[in-house]
Amino acid sequence: MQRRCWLALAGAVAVLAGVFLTSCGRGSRREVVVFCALDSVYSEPVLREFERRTGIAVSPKFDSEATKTVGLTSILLDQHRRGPVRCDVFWNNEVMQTVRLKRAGALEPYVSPAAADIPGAFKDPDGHWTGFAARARVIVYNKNLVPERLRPRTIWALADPRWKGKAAIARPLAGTTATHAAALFSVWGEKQAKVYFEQLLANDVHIALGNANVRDLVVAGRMHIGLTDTDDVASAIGRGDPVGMIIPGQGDSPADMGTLVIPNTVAVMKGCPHPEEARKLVDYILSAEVEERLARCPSAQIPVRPGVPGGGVTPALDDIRAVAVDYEKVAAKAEEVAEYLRQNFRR
Amino acid sequence: MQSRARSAIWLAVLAGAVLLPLAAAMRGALAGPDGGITLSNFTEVWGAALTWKLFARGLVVSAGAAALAVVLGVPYAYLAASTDLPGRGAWEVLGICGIVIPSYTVVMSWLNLSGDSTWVRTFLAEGMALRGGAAGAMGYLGVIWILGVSYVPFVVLFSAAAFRLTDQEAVEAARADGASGLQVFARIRLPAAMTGVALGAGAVFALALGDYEIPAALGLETISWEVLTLWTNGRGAQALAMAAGPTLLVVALYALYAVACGRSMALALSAERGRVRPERLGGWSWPAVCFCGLFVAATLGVPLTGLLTGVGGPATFLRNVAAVTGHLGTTLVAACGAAVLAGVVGLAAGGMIARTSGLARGAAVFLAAMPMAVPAAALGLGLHAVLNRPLLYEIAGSGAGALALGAAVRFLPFAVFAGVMAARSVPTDLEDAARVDGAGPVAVAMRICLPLTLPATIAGVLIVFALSVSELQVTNILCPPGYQTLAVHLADRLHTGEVERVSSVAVVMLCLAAASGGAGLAILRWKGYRS
Repeated sequence: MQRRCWLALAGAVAVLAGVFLTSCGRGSRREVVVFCALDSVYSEPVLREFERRTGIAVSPKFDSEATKTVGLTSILLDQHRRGPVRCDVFWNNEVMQTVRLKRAGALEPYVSPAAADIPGAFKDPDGHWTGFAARARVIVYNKNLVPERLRPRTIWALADPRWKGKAAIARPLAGTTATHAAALFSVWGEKQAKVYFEQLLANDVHIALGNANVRDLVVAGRMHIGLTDTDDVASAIGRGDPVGMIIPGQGDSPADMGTLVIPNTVAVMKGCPHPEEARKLVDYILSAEVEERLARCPSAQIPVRPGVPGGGVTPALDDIRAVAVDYEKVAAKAEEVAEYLRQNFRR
Repeated sequence: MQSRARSAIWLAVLAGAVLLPLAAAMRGALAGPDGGITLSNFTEVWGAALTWKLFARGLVVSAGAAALAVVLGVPYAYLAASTDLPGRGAWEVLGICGIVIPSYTVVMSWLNLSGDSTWVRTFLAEGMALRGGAAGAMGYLGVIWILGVSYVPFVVLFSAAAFRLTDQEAVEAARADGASGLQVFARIRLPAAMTGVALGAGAVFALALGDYEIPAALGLETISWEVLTLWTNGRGAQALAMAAGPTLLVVALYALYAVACGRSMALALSAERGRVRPERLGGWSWPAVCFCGLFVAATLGVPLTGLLTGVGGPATFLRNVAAVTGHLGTTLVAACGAAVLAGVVGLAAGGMIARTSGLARGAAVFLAAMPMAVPAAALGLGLHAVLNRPLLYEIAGSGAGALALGAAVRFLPFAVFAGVMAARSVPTDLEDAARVDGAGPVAVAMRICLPLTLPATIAGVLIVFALSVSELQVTNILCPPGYQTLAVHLADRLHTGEVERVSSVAVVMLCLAAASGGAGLAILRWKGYRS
């Protein structure tokens, strides 16, 4: 019995040593730490392929529905302000939080040779970040509940009394919905933007947890239409769900200003512990091969570089009239309107 | 009695494990933009009507969940612990098993059940707003239901223990006076068990108030969700200031409980287990079995069925499991570390509680229960603040150590509970005899205490392991890059529509938790009947 006690004690010490050695043993290997906001189901295969090809260990930290991209950004800002910086690469699935990091001085300029053929509209003019594999803001509708003649053409449809209590948007406090809200304030001006959001609220728009939740509500028929992203609708269409997508604002009237196109963005963190590995990873992520891979995956990201084929479910970038935005201005506007949105869009 | 020096050391260790993250959280809440101390975060947060609205929502659903758990759990515990219900031993274990099922998988399963095809599914969808989000008062029902059935095992656990400690003489005297079974229950057993019932209800209230996954998944934002939202938006100080509200409320309620019921608790902890003659159910046996069956169906059957039906075929299940072997490894390492850490501290603290009296015991019991009383988000944020320092991060914060520490602190109360049971199984005269013979503390520990406490210690370790496997709320905050547990991976994939992947991961977690937790509970039960 005493021998069993000594064995139990030895086992306990061995377990604890093993657990804490997982921290201590990290410094010796070649690795790159990436904070990634793109869903792990799509981004992790890309990172593992990089790991396989280069032998550089990739340590990813993904966001979650609880913390969202803004949670990752907050950690990065905290690291930048208080040190030390522990992240090498930030792979964001949108652009505003990346601009927020740039404005805080947390990014290292790096112009990747792999991004030479990416249009300038998707690159930071100062070289702090590069965009690729985009999504567009779209209206999702339930095919069984919305006849063709009633299918909405602009985002103002969510304020149409016809869809009272049957339209949904994600909370405009984080993610692409926050970016979209800030873009509307930036492009329309504060007065018109507030009219829009107040009309949405008066029309009992349902405020969902996130874009995926908007899609799920429309798929289930609990909502008839919703405002979400192309990747959410593409994955539902791929599963055979009875939904379709409409690119809003594509008509010829003055109200049709186009839709917001939001690229993934990638950047190197200033003061990162593995700068050489970080640049290699950025080069790989920005390659045409990865952009094509993301276009072919169920989320059907839209290639921004010419010549890269799309996934087929979403339209090509050339077929989308995109609203022209200055992301720096949108990011600045986002901070101004955040409190207004937080107060009005509670559930 | 244990020496004062040893008691002081272990009390300090316990205080450090529990109070350090809370102190770090409080320090963060008082931090001003220039690094100084300020109350502006509190005034900003608690001066807003929105905060009170979210707090009120949290209180409503928590109180509702606690009430529901008492209504369901107390009769169940009584039937399993104090009557001649057929198979009552198994019913009791089944009633507690739900502790290891993570709350987010419970909500997944119930959501899978709700829909439009039958009136039951329609009721769940519309009447309880399990789909489509909260819609006025009805939306609260779904949240209260899910929180209640998720956490009702705590009411069963504490109530059953309390029912077993009923004064048998009072029961016999009442029977001799001609009291019916119902009268004995209402006038003797239930009042005597109120300490345990109150503890169970309090545990459900605290856990429900701190739960941010279930209400958010069902479309109801409460204060715990807002704490997380503030933190992720870079307003960490405001998040901690907001978290202080529910934390202080729960701690105050717990302190009130300790003052009001502390003496009863102390007696219960030191009482010898007497053999209580079970109440005869007679013709009520089969209705009782039906009630217990429905209870187990709601707390265990639905979560398991919902997950198993989502797995897809065996080939799909195996493929999905193979895809997450890395996350499984991280989970096992973190859970093992948490179990060992909590086991060591729990055994020592439990021994101290069993061997001391007065203020030291009271303080130790109070500290030991705190981690479950404090909202998970507050605990996670506090630990994050502690570990996010240069040297500590390299030693513990950048690997699985952070996850192990988080789970160890969170589930310390269970390890301490097992430690108390373990210590009570060691006759004090054996220790005294060894000391008289000249044995030092190490010899007494290795030759007498540890051999006799090993089964209960292992039980405590297994239970902490089971709970750590599926821990999400603290782990979500502490997860370092490159380390993702099965629970975090599952939560990550919940919204991507990968039902088969999510269900497969959940089944793996449940199997691990059920095997280890079941073994631990079985050892404790076996050990309990032997003493």
